[in-house]
Order: sequence, then structure tokens, then C-alpha cells
Amino acid sequence: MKRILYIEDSVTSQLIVRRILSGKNEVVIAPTPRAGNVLLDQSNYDLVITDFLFPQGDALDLIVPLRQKKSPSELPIIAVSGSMDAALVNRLLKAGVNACLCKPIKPPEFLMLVERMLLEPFIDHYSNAVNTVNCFQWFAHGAYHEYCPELQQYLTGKDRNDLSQRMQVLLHEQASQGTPLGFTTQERVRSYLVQPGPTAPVESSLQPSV
Amino acid sequence: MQPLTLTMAVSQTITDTHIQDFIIKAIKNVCSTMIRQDASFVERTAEAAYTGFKDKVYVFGSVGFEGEINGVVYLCIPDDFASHAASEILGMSRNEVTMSGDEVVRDVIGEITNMTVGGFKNALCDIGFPCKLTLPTVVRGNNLEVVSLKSATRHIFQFDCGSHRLVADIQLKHE
Repeated sequence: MKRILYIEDSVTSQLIVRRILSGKNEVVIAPTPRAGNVLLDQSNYDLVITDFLFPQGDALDLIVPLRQKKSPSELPIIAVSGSMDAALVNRLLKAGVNACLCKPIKPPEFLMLVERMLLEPFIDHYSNAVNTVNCFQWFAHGAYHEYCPELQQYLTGKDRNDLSQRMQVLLHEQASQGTPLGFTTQERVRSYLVQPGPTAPVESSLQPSV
Repeated sequence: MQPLTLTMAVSQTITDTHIQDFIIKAIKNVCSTMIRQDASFVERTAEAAYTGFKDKVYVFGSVGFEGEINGVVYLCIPDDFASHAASEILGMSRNEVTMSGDEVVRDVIGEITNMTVGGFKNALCDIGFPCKLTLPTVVRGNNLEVVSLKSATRHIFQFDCGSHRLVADIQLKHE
């Protein structure tokens, strides 16, 4: 049975998470980051899950000292908050959190994240929120053509890169004037923390198999 | 024809449509996930028509946001719906909720308000207005009223969830 420490001041969220994770796991709850630090000093856990904002401070009071003692592969941390915007995600990941999740928690998604983190810890990386505008480019009659449905602009030219640059200039001009364009997305890269096993010597691995 | 994706950061202005879309999305998400009931947007209300809280007990949850944009969101929830939400979320009967006392309902509504305003605030961040949430405050009683903040624009939205009417009262400050 895996041991999970959940740091959360709301009794409501404590009950929800306990209901989702109990059974396969032992869930220990601390109502403040300070109480969480005490429990971490007293006992070993396989995973830490923490809310962000507390009446007495925030989760960084727990994450920063914990990361000075244990790496993300030794003790993964999942941060869960209703306030999980791109800036907070980046701040938490920089501080050493493995993954972030926005409240309200969707039980299947949350359970899958916890189980995968317990099985093989990984780190999620998010870029800043970006706006994406889709344009269409095609080649016909010996020239490149590009159309942007949002700008309703059509461009043509012999040089494909020049064509793309001209369209980008138009998009940036519109954006700088405050025109709402595209849709907001957040890109994510997941790094799996794989422990290196015993490796074969390089020479032998290059030998053709007989 | 091959789609070409151009990526760029864009900052916008906050329109009435943004505010309406963001609060509708946030409330629908929290109601369906937490209470397992769909919330439907009924109407946007003028401040003058907003007198529905005199006749019975309500629970008001509020969370503020501070940063590039400042303001506060109040969720005004009838007390019977607050008890229903607490029993649904905590897996308790209505009697058990009543026996558990005021603190249980307050905690549930505080968390619901926090998640709803969090969703609203995150959408504001996505369009270029980074801000941070304050801690939730919950008040329970009758004859409650939301007072307009100085130099703030008020946006009032009504929702139906089951047979209950919820109100989201948003006040955005102009610095």
C-alpha cells in the first residue's frame, strides 16, 4: 500500500481526495504546509499532493524545503489548486513540483495522474499560454499561396518563407492593435524520470549480431 | 492544402462577452464536476432588478482577484441548495449535513466559490490579465445584500441548477 500525504485546509477537498484515493493507498492529511513539513520529517511517503493557497501562507513553504532534501524522482509532488494559471504552473514547476492539476478535480483524471506518478515519477513542463492562428498555404500555378481565415487576408508569392513572414507581420500588426485572434492553448511536455540501468559497453553494442 | 500554425502571445481588452463566457464556463464546470448537476445560464440582470435575497436564507461566497485586473466575485446560493450541494459533495444525507453544523456548509460553499472564481480568473489570465486569488469568505443568513464597490463595474448573471436559482455577481474595479 502506497502512502500519500495530502496538504489541504478545506475539509471538503480533504474528503473528496480521501474518497478517490483510499482503498489502494493510505492517505494522511495535513491542514497546513507547516503540519505537512512535520509529518514529512517523521515518516516516509511515496507521494505528496498539496493545495496551493492556505490562510497561513502557500505551498512553497513546503515544496522548497522538501526539494532540498528529496528529488522529484525520490518523492514526487502534485500541486492541485483552483487558481492554476500558466504563471502559477511555471512557478510551481520551477520550485520542484512534478505536475499540476486544476480544481475542480475530475476523479478519473486525478486517479490516473496519481497512479502513474506512483508507478514511475515524471515531470510535466508547460510553456506560457499562447494564441494559435491557423492559416492555409498551398502551391499552385508555379507560386505559393496563403490564406488566413481570421484576417480574411490572401497572399501569394514565389518564396514560401517570405510568404509566411509577410503573413506573420500582418498577424502581429493586428494583435498589437488588440484584435482578438486565434485560440489560447498551453503546451505541455512530459519528462519521464527513468533511472539508468546497467549498460552494455559501447563497443559490444556496436558489434553486428551473428 | 496544408495548415500552417503561427504562434504568438496576444493581449486583449476585457469585453462583456469575455466576462459572460468565462463565468458561464466556470459555473457549468464546477456544478457538473462537484454536484453532478448541469447549470444553465438564464439571464444577465441589471443591478436594479437584483432584489431576490430578502425572503429566505442565502449563503454568499466571495473570492477576490488582484493583479492586472482587480475585482471580486460573489456567488449567491439559496441555503437549501447549499445544503443539497454539501450532501452531494460530501456523500452525506441532508440530516447529517444539518447535524454537522454551519461549518460544513460554509466549507463546501467556500471551496465551490474558490473553484468557480479560480476558473474565471484563469480565463482572464489566458487573455493577458494575470491576477491572483484571495482566500474565500462565506456568509450565511437572511437579508443579505451585495454592496457595489466604488469605481467598479457590476455584472450580474443568473443560473438555474436543478430547481434552484444561483447568482454570480462580478465587480471589476477600474484603476
